[in-house]
Amino acid sequence: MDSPWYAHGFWLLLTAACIVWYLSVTVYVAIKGFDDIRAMLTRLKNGSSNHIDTSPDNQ
Amino acid sequence: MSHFSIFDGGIVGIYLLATMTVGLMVRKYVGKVEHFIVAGREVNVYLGIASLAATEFGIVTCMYTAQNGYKYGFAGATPGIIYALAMGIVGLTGFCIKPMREAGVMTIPELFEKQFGPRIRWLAGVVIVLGGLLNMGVFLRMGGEFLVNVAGLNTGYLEITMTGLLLLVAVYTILGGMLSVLVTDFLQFVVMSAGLLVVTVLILSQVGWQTITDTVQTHCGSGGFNPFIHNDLGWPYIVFNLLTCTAAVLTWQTMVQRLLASRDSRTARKVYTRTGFFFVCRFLLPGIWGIAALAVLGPQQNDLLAMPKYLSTHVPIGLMGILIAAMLAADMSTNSSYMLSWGSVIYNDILRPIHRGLWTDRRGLLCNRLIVAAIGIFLLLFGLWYPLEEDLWVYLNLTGAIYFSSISMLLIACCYWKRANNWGAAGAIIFGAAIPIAFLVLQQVPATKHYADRIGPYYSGIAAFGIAALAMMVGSLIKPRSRTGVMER
Repeated sequence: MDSPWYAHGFWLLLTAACIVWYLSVTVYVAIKGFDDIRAMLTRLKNGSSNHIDTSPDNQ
Repeated sequence: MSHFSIFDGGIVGIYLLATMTVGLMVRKYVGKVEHFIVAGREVNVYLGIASLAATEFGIVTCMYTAQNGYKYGFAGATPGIIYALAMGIVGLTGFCIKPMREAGVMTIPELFEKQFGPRIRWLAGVVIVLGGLLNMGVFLRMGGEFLVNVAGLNTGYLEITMTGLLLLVAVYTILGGMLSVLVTDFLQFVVMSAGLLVVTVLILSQVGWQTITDTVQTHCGSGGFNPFIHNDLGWPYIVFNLLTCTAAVLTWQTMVQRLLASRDSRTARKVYTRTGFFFVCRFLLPGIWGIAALAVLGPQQNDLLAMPKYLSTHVPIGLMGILIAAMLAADMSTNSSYMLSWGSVIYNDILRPIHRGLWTDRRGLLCNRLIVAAIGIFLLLFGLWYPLEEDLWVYLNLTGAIYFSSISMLLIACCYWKRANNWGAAGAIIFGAAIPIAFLVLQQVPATKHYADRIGPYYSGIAAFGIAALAMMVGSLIKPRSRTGVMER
């Protein structure tokens, strides 16, 4: 018995979404992640380690 | 014959040199145990995403997800969708991860001490390390099988190749701890993602989408597109994966360590929410590689090695170097993070009765480095030079089920049930481990094997979660309250 068209369509859409999403995230994270590393090393160099959770969730 | 050439070797060499350079550069920033284990809690969202994605995709992941594609078609990618849903929901709601990050702990067992006392902390540490190390024990050989098959190397070089790779990883992990792991993870995420995407697009253009769907239809029928109607999967498989994936999202130390290293609970939640969809890619893209292997090589292949065999002859020179570098990146990031994570639990929880948190940072750092080195030696002896006799899938299921069922119940109770106490926690750990072990024994003894076959691994796994939860509730309720109303430990 053949699978319904929407089963094929679901996996086609999901595969396309994976490729587009993954490509975008890789480029974006490659740029922003580099900034994160620089900021992290600067803070560690200055000795301002973040011990306490200062999230706005807690304020 | 493999398409791996000297040009590809050059690409791999440049990648390895770059990784070692950045890994060693940041070692000077490690001055405290907290820097070594959780990078001084300075991880921001995008570095967290890169590190989490790189850690949770190793060669062993690629092998199993491709095997799922080869055996079950698209339905084999279902755990990826479940993972993504679990991460999205946990990230959005902060379920368990918010109180865990806000507690300021470095490991999950450390959180348990607040509710269940030091003995449960120690016992949970032992369960986590046992489950984690035994699980990781098979990574090295699986990685070696992939690399040897894809690069067309003599199988006699498997041990020496993986020993060399582990040595490189161990050097930067021992010296730089979490900081080296994070910066190398970042580089490895970029290389790994580029390789995964390029090879997937190449395969789709070579084989074609129509051939891929026709192959799934021919070999798996409608079940290849829908896990609910697949003969070997169905509802028990979905429920078992739902429980296991959710438990992994909440308690798998290598994932949780990224949350505990993040700047605050809000950052931690964002890391989970934004990495969630990666888990669909993690299962679906290599799954398509496995389906392509089925389309090109046919169903007579070893289902685990079909994908690397297919790639070795269908990926052209140049791209082969990118593929090998990507897979090396995936494997190195996984190995370094896993060694550090289990080492952190050994130091922070299992050795706690010895150091009592009183050692100087210098002494603590030395101890952590020795533990990571010892884990590396264990991996070499157990995972590479010791031949595994048991069925690999049963082995992985067993180690995972022992860990997930008990530790997830402890975490949920610890965060949301004030009445939960050490009696319940001990019961959850004991019964959570007893069910999967009993199932394995039933399976191995010829006289009881038919009972195990009738129950099946999925019902056994579901039962482990149910009984661990029941043990937590019953144990906690039957323990008398102290006169002051505070639980006795």
